[in-house]
Amino acid sequence: MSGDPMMPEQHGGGDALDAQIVRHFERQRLDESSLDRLRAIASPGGVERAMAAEERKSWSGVRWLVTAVAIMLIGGFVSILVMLPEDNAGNDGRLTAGENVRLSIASEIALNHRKELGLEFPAEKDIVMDDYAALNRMMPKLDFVMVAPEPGHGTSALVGGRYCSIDGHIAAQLRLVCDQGKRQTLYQFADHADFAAMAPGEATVNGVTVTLWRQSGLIFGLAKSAG
Amino acid sequence: MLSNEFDELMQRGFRYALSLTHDRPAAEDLLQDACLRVSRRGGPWHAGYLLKAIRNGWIDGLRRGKIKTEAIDAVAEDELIEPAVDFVPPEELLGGLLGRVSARDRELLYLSAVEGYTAAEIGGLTGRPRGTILSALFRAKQKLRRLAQADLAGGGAVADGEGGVG
Repeated sequence: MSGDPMMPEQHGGGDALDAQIVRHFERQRLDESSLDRLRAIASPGGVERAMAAEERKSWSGVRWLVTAVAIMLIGGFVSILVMLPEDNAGNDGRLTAGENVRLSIASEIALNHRKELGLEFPAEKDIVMDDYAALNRMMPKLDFVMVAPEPGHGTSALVGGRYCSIDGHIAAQLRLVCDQGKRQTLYQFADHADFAAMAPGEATVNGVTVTLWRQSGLIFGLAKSAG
Repeated sequence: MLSNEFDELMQRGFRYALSLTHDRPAAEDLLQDACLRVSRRGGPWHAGYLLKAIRNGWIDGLRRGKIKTEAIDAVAEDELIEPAVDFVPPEELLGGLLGRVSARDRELLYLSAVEGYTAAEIGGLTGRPRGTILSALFRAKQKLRRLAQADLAGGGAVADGEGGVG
Protein backbone atom coordinates (compact mmCIF):
# COMPACT_ATOMS: atom_id res chain seq x y z
CA MET A 1 0.00 0.00 0.00
CA SER A 2 1.45 3.23 -1.07
CA GLY A 3 -0.21 5.62 1.33
CA ASP A 4 -1.40 8.00 -1.36
CA PRO A 5 -4.06 10.13 0.26
CA MET A 6 -7.61 9.68 -0.84
CA MET A 7 -9.17 12.47 -2.74
CA PRO A 8 -9.21 15.18 -0.14
CA GLU A 9 -12.87 15.19 0.70
CA GLN A 10 -14.93 15.54 -2.33
CA HIS A 11 -17.71 15.42 0.28
CA GLY A 12 -16.65 18.70 1.88
CA GLY A 13 -15.71 19.57 5.45
CA GLY A 14 -13.55 16.46 5.60
CA ASP A 15 -10.18 18.08 6.04
CA ALA A 16 -10.95 19.41 9.49
CA LEU A 17 -12.65 16.19 10.55
CA ASP A 18 -9.80 14.10 9.14
CA ALA A 19 -7.29 16.26 10.96
CA GLN A 20 -9.19 15.75 14.15
CA ILE A 21 -9.30 11.98 13.63
CA VAL A 22 -5.55 12.01 12.99
CA ARG A 23 -4.92 13.96 16.21
CA HIS A 24 -7.14 11.57 18.15
CA PHE A 25 -5.29 8.48 16.96
CA GLU A 26 -1.85 10.04 17.30
CA ARG A 27 -2.51 10.49 20.98
CA GLN A 28 -2.97 6.71 21.28
CA ARG A 29 0.44 5.16 21.87
CA LEU A 30 1.78 1.87 23.10
CA ASP A 31 3.76 2.21 26.29
CA GLU A 32 7.40 1.13 26.59
CA SER A 33 6.70 -2.21 28.26
CA SER A 34 4.31 -3.23 25.47
CA LEU A 35 6.88 -2.17 22.91
CA ASP A 36 9.52 -4.24 24.67
CA ARG A 37 7.30 -7.28 24.45
CA LEU A 38 6.74 -6.77 20.75
CA ARG A 39 10.45 -6.15 20.11
CA ALA A 40 11.16 -9.43 21.85
CA ILE A 41 8.69 -11.24 19.56
CA ALA A 42 10.32 -9.75 16.47
CA SER A 43 13.85 -10.65 17.61
CA PRO A 44 15.45 -13.97 16.58
CA GLY A 45 13.89 -16.81 18.57
CA GLY A 46 11.24 -14.40 19.83
CA VAL A 47 8.28 -16.49 18.71
CA GLU A 48 9.58 -19.54 20.55
CA ARG A 49 10.15 -17.49 23.67
CA ALA A 50 6.68 -15.95 23.41
CA MET A 51 5.09 -19.36 22.90
CA ALA A 52 7.03 -20.77 25.84
CA ALA A 53 5.89 -17.84 27.96
CA GLU A 54 2.29 -18.42 26.90
CA GLU A 55 2.65 -22.08 27.78
CA ARG A 56 4.11 -21.20 31.16
CA LYS A 57 1.22 -18.79 31.65
CA SER A 58 -1.34 -21.47 30.87
CA TRP A 59 0.50 -23.96 33.12
CA SER A 60 0.58 -21.30 35.75
CA GLY A 61 -3.20 -21.14 35.42
CA VAL A 62 -3.40 -24.90 35.87
CA ARG A 63 -1.10 -24.67 38.89
CA TRP A 64 -3.36 -22.05 40.40
CA LEU A 65 -6.34 -24.30 39.80
CA VAL A 66 -4.58 -27.26 41.42
CA THR A 67 -3.56 -25.07 44.36
CA ALA A 68 -7.11 -23.79 44.74
CA VAL A 69 -8.50 -27.34 44.71
CA ALA A 70 -5.86 -28.43 47.26
CA ILE A 71 -6.76 -25.50 49.53
CA MET A 72 -10.44 -26.41 49.26
CA LEU A 73 -9.69 -30.04 50.14
CA ILE A 74 -7.54 -29.03 53.08
CA GLY A 75 -10.24 -26.58 54.15
CA GLY A 76 -12.82 -29.35 53.97
CA PHE A 77 -10.59 -31.67 56.00
CA VAL A 78 -10.04 -28.97 58.62
CA SER A 79 -13.79 -28.35 58.75
CA ILE A 80 -14.34 -32.04 59.44
CA LEU A 81 -11.74 -31.89 62.19
CA VAL A 82 -13.50 -28.86 63.65
CA MET A 83 -16.74 -30.82 63.71
CA LEU A 84 -15.03 -33.50 65.80
CA PRO A 85 -14.73 -33.13 69.57
CA GLU A 86 -12.44 -30.19 70.38
CA ASP A 87 -9.57 -30.10 72.85
CA ASN A 88 -10.55 -33.30 74.53
CA ALA A 89 -7.21 -35.06 74.28
CA GLY A 90 -4.39 -34.95 76.79
CA ASN A 91 -1.02 -33.34 76.19
CA ASP A 92 0.27 -36.29 74.20
CA GLY A 93 -2.78 -36.15 71.93
CA ARG A 94 -4.06 -39.56 73.06
CA LEU A 95 -7.15 -40.11 75.17
CA THR A 96 -7.07 -42.24 78.29
CA ALA A 97 -9.81 -44.84 78.91
CA GLY A 98 -11.46 -42.46 81.40
CA GLU A 99 -11.37 -39.58 78.93
CA ASN A 100 -12.78 -41.83 76.21
CA VAL A 101 -15.80 -42.72 78.32
CA ARG A 102 -16.23 -39.07 79.29
CA LEU A 103 -16.12 -38.06 75.65
CA SER A 104 -18.60 -40.76 74.70
CA ILE A 105 -21.08 -39.61 77.35
CA ALA A 106 -20.47 -35.95 76.55
CA SER A 107 -21.15 -36.60 72.85
CA GLU A 108 -24.52 -38.16 73.64
CA ILE A 109 -25.40 -35.38 76.04
CA ALA A 110 -24.39 -32.74 73.48
CA LEU A 111 -26.59 -34.45 70.90
CA ASN A 112 -29.56 -34.41 73.28
CA HIS A 113 -28.82 -30.82 74.20
CA ARG A 114 -28.78 -29.71 70.57
CA LYS A 115 -32.09 -31.45 69.79
CA GLU A 116 -33.84 -28.88 71.97
CA LEU A 117 -36.78 -31.19 72.56
CA GLY A 118 -39.80 -29.81 74.35
CA LEU A 119 -40.40 -30.36 78.04
CA GLU A 120 -42.65 -33.23 79.09
CA PHE A 121 -42.92 -31.79 82.59
CA PRO A 122 -42.81 -28.03 82.48
CA ALA A 123 -42.09 -26.27 85.72
CA GLU A 124 -44.55 -23.44 85.34
CA LYS A 125 -47.55 -25.73 85.92
CA ASP A 126 -46.61 -28.29 88.49
CA ILE A 127 -43.09 -27.79 89.65
CA VAL A 128 -41.88 -25.24 92.08
CA MET A 129 -38.46 -23.97 91.00
CA ASP A 130 -35.74 -26.31 92.22
CA ASP A 131 -38.32 -28.68 93.69
CA TYR A 132 -36.63 -31.92 92.64
CA ALA A 133 -38.97 -33.87 94.90
CA ALA A 134 -41.97 -32.70 92.85
CA LEU A 135 -40.19 -33.54 89.62
CA ASN A 136 -39.32 -37.02 90.94
CA ARG A 137 -43.01 -37.62 91.53
CA MET A 138 -43.78 -36.67 87.95
CA MET A 139 -41.09 -38.92 86.48
CA PRO A 140 -41.66 -42.30 88.14
CA LYS A 141 -40.01 -44.32 85.37
CA LEU A 142 -36.55 -43.20 86.46
CA ASP A 143 -34.51 -45.93 88.18
CA PHE A 144 -32.88 -43.40 90.47
CA VAL A 145 -33.91 -40.39 92.52
CA MET A 146 -32.96 -37.00 91.15
CA VAL A 147 -31.22 -34.62 93.49
CA ALA A 148 -30.34 -30.98 93.28
CA PRO A 149 -26.78 -30.41 92.08
CA GLU A 150 -24.30 -29.30 94.67
CA PRO A 151 -23.45 -25.66 94.57
CA GLY A 152 -20.30 -24.81 92.65
CA HIS A 153 -21.21 -26.48 89.39
CA GLY A 154 -22.67 -23.32 87.92
CA THR A 155 -26.18 -24.69 87.56
CA SER A 156 -29.19 -22.37 87.53
CA ALA A 157 -32.84 -22.76 88.48
CA LEU A 158 -34.91 -25.65 87.16
CA VAL A 159 -37.43 -25.04 84.38
CA GLY A 160 -38.69 -28.56 83.71
CA GLY A 161 -37.67 -32.01 82.55
CA ARG A 162 -38.15 -34.96 80.23
CA TYR A 163 -37.00 -38.54 79.95
CA CYS A 164 -34.00 -39.38 77.81
CA SER A 165 -31.31 -42.05 77.66
CA ILE A 166 -27.54 -42.11 77.85
CA ASP A 167 -25.75 -45.14 76.47
CA GLY A 168 -29.03 -47.05 76.62
CA HIS A 169 -29.67 -46.20 80.28
CA ILE A 170 -32.64 -44.13 81.32
CA ALA A 171 -31.77 -40.58 82.26
CA ALA A 172 -33.40 -37.30 83.06
CA GLN A 173 -32.88 -34.24 80.94
CA LEU A 174 -33.55 -31.14 82.97
CA ARG A 175 -33.91 -27.72 81.44
CA LEU A 176 -32.33 -24.96 83.49
CA VAL A 177 -32.72 -21.22 83.27
CA CYS A 178 -30.35 -19.75 80.71
CA ASP A 179 -27.07 -18.57 82.13
CA GLN A 180 -25.99 -15.27 80.54
CA GLY A 181 -27.86 -16.18 77.37
CA LYS A 182 -26.41 -19.69 77.23
CA ARG A 183 -28.95 -22.48 77.08
CA GLN A 184 -28.35 -25.05 79.80
CA THR A 185 -29.54 -28.64 80.22
CA LEU A 186 -28.63 -30.90 83.11
CA TYR A 187 -28.54 -34.69 82.80
CA GLN A 188 -28.78 -37.13 85.66
CA PHE A 189 -28.52 -40.89 85.46
CA ALA A 190 -27.45 -43.76 87.64
CA ASP A 191 -23.73 -44.51 87.75
CA HIS A 192 -23.77 -47.95 86.09
CA ALA A 193 -20.77 -50.24 85.69
CA ASP A 194 -20.66 -49.12 82.04
CA PHE A 195 -19.61 -45.71 83.25
CA ALA A 196 -17.19 -46.86 85.93
CA ALA A 197 -14.13 -45.74 84.00
CA MET A 198 -15.50 -42.28 83.36
CA ALA A 199 -13.10 -39.54 84.45
CA PRO A 200 -15.00 -36.47 85.62
CA GLY A 201 -14.19 -33.29 83.78
CA GLU A 202 -15.13 -31.21 80.81
CA ALA A 203 -15.49 -32.01 77.11
CA THR A 204 -16.57 -29.83 74.21
CA VAL A 205 -18.52 -31.41 71.38
CA ASN A 206 -19.85 -29.44 68.39
CA GLY A 207 -19.77 -26.19 70.32
CA VAL A 208 -21.51 -27.66 73.39
CA THR A 209 -19.48 -27.70 76.59
CA VAL A 210 -20.35 -30.66 78.82
CA THR A 211 -19.17 -30.87 82.43
CA LEU A 212 -19.45 -34.28 84.03
CA TRP A 213 -19.22 -35.13 87.70
CA ARG A 214 -20.38 -37.71 90.20
CA GLN A 215 -22.73 -36.95 93.08
CA SER A 216 -24.90 -39.12 95.33
CA GLY A 217 -24.36 -42.26 93.24
CA LEU A 218 -25.43 -40.45 90.09
CA ILE A 219 -23.59 -39.02 87.11
CA PHE A 220 -24.37 -35.41 86.38
CA GLY A 221 -23.78 -33.79 83.04
CA LEU A 222 -24.24 -30.08 82.57
CA ALA A 223 -24.43 -28.98 78.91
CA LYS A 224 -24.02 -25.35 77.85
CA SER A 225 -24.31 -23.93 74.37
CA ALA A 226 -21.54 -21.70 73.22
CA GLY A 227 -23.78 -18.68 72.52
CA MET B 1 14.91 -2.89 10.43
CA LEU B 2 15.95 0.00 12.63
CA SER B 3 14.60 0.13 16.12
CA ASN B 4 12.83 3.45 15.55
CA GLU B 5 11.19 2.21 12.39
CA PHE B 6 10.03 -0.91 14.14
CA ASP B 7 8.59 1.12 17.04
CA GLU B 8 6.75 3.42 14.63
CA LEU B 9 5.37 0.39 12.81
CA MET B 10 4.12 -1.00 16.11
CA GLN B 11 2.46 2.31 16.97
CA ARG B 12 0.72 2.29 13.59
CA GLY B 13 -0.36 -1.29 14.10
CA PHE B 14 -1.65 -0.46 17.55
CA ARG B 15 -3.71 2.48 16.30
CA TYR B 16 -5.20 0.39 13.53
CA ALA B 17 -6.05 -2.35 16.02
CA LEU B 18 -7.57 0.30 18.26
CA SER B 19 -9.73 1.51 15.37
CA LEU B 20 -11.12 -2.02 15.16
CA THR B 21 -11.55 -2.74 18.84
CA HIS B 22 -11.95 0.68 20.46
CA ASP B 23 -10.43 -1.00 23.49
CA ARG B 24 -6.74 -0.66 24.44
CA PRO B 25 -6.09 -4.10 25.98
CA ALA B 26 -7.93 -5.82 23.13
CA ALA B 27 -5.94 -3.77 20.62
CA GLU B 28 -2.65 -4.75 22.28
CA ASP B 29 -3.64 -8.43 22.18
CA LEU B 30 -4.63 -8.14 18.55
CA LEU B 31 -1.33 -6.49 17.68
CA GLN B 32 0.69 -9.07 19.61
CA ASP B 33 -1.08 -11.94 17.82
CA ALA B 34 -0.40 -10.25 14.49
CA CYS B 35 3.27 -9.83 15.39
CA LEU B 36 3.50 -13.51 16.24
CA ARG B 37 2.00 -14.38 12.86
CA VAL B 38 4.40 -12.12 11.01
CA SER B 39 7.37 -13.28 13.05
CA ARG B 40 6.58 -16.95 12.51
CA ARG B 41 6.74 -16.35 8.77
CA GLY B 42 9.98 -14.46 9.17
CA GLY B 43 8.50 -11.09 8.22
CA PRO B 44 8.43 -8.88 6.32
CA TRP B 45 8.04 -6.13 8.87
CA HIS B 46 6.17 -3.52 6.92
CA ALA B 47 2.83 -1.79 7.37
CA GLY B 48 0.82 -3.47 4.62
CA TYR B 49 1.69 -6.90 5.89
CA LEU B 50 1.19 -6.05 9.55
CA LEU B 51 -2.16 -4.33 9.01
CA LYS B 52 -3.38 -7.27 6.98
CA ALA B 53 -2.31 -9.63 9.78
CA ILE B 54 -4.13 -7.47 12.33
CA ARG B 55 -7.28 -7.46 10.23
CA ASN B 56 -7.14 -11.23 9.73
CA GLY B 57 -6.70 -11.69 13.48
CA TRP B 58 -9.68 -9.44 14.10
CA ILE B 59 -11.88 -11.39 11.71
CA ASP B 60 -10.71 -14.71 13.20
CA GLY B 61 -11.59 -13.39 16.66
CA LEU B 62 -15.05 -12.38 15.50
CA ARG B 63 -15.62 -15.79 13.94
CA ARG B 64 -14.45 -17.63 17.05
CA GLY B 65 -16.56 -15.38 19.23
CA LYS B 66 -13.40 -14.30 21.05
CA ILE B 67 -14.17 -10.71 20.14
CA LYS B 68 -17.66 -9.78 21.12
CA THR B 69 -19.82 -7.15 19.53
CA GLU B 70 -22.43 -5.64 21.71
CA ALA B 71 -25.38 -3.86 20.22
CA ILE B 72 -26.36 -0.62 21.83
CA ASP B 73 -29.37 1.53 21.18
CA ALA B 74 -29.51 2.44 17.57
CA VAL B 75 -31.26 5.55 16.46
CA ALA B 76 -33.21 5.77 13.26
CA GLU B 77 -31.42 7.93 10.79
CA ASP B 78 -34.40 10.25 10.40
CA GLU B 79 -34.48 10.93 14.12
CA LEU B 80 -31.22 12.76 13.85
CA ILE B 81 -30.87 16.19 12.41
CA GLU B 82 -28.94 16.13 9.18
CA PRO B 83 -25.75 18.06 9.88
CA ALA B 84 -23.96 20.32 7.53
CA VAL B 85 -21.19 18.49 5.70
CA ASP B 86 -18.67 20.98 6.99
CA PHE B 87 -19.72 20.53 10.60
CA VAL B 88 -16.79 19.31 12.71
CA PRO B 89 -17.49 17.67 16.06
CA PRO B 90 -15.65 19.15 19.03
CA GLU B 91 -12.36 17.35 19.61
CA GLU B 92 -13.21 16.34 23.16
CA LEU B 93 -16.25 14.41 21.91
CA LEU B 94 -14.43 12.49 19.20
CA GLY B 95 -13.16 9.57 21.33
CA GLY B 96 -16.66 8.86 22.62
CA LEU B 97 -18.21 9.30 19.21
CA LEU B 98 -15.81 6.82 17.64
CA GLY B 99 -16.91 4.29 20.24
CA ARG B 100 -20.47 4.66 19.04
CA VAL B 101 -19.98 3.95 15.37
CA SER B 102 -19.36 0.48 13.98
CA ALA B 103 -15.90 -1.07 13.78
CA ARG B 104 -16.22 -1.04 10.03
CA ASP B 105 -16.88 2.71 10.04
CA ARG B 106 -14.05 3.38 12.48
CA GLU B 107 -11.69 1.34 10.35
CA LEU B 108 -12.65 3.32 7.25
CA LEU B 109 -12.17 6.62 9.04
CA TYR B 110 -8.81 5.49 10.40
CA LEU B 111 -7.45 4.12 7.13
CA SER B 112 -8.56 7.17 5.21
CA ALA B 113 -7.64 9.94 7.63
CA VAL B 114 -4.66 8.51 9.51
CA GLU B 115 -3.07 6.07 7.07
CA GLY B 116 -4.04 8.20 4.10
CA TYR B 117 -5.21 5.20 2.10
CA THR B 118 -7.13 5.74 -1.11
CA ALA B 119 -10.58 4.23 -1.54
CA ALA B 120 -9.05 1.67 -3.87
CA GLU B 121 -6.42 0.72 -1.28
CA ILE B 122 -9.02 0.42 1.44
CA GLY B 123 -11.06 -1.70 -0.93
CA GLY B 124 -8.03 -3.87 -1.50
CA LEU B 125 -7.53 -4.39 2.22
CA THR B 126 -11.17 -4.89 3.11
CA GLY B 127 -12.33 -6.68 0.00
CA ARG B 128 -14.95 -4.13 -0.96
CA PRO B 129 -15.36 -2.16 -4.19
CA ARG B 130 -13.96 1.36 -4.39
CA GLY B 131 -17.40 2.94 -4.91
CA THR B 132 -18.76 1.22 -1.85
CA ILE B 133 -15.81 2.48 0.18
CA LEU B 134 -16.37 6.05 -0.95
CA SER B 135 -20.05 6.09 -0.03
CA ALA B 136 -19.41 4.19 3.21
CA LEU B 137 -16.77 6.72 4.18
CA PHE B 138 -19.14 9.60 3.51
CA ARG B 139 -21.84 7.94 5.59
CA ALA B 140 -19.38 7.23 8.42
CA LYS B 141 -18.40 10.87 8.65
CA GLN B 142 -22.01 11.97 8.53
CA LYS B 143 -22.77 9.56 11.37
CA LEU B 144 -20.06 11.11 13.48
CA ARG B 145 -21.43 14.55 12.76
CA ARG B 146 -25.02 13.55 13.48
CA LEU B 147 -24.08 11.91 16.76
CA ALA B 148 -22.06 14.93 17.78
CA GLN B 149 -24.86 17.28 16.86
CA ALA B 150 -27.38 15.22 18.82
CA ASP B 151 -25.04 15.22 21.81
CA LEU B 152 -24.61 18.95 21.62
CA ALA B 153 -28.37 19.36 21.36
CA GLY B 154 -28.77 17.36 24.56
CA GLY B 155 -29.59 13.95 23.07
CA GLY B 156 -26.45 12.33 24.43
CA ALA B 157 -27.90 8.82 24.53
CA VAL B 158 -28.01 8.34 20.82
CA ALA B 159 -25.74 5.73 19.36
CA ASP B 160 -25.12 3.83 16.23
CA GLY B 161 -23.36 0.61 15.35
CA GLU B 162 -21.95 -2.01 17.68
CA GLY B 163 -20.64 0.35 20.29
CA GLY B 164 -17.61 -0.65 22.36
CA VAL B 165 -16.03 -2.93 19.89
CA GLY B 166 -17.92 -2.17 16.81
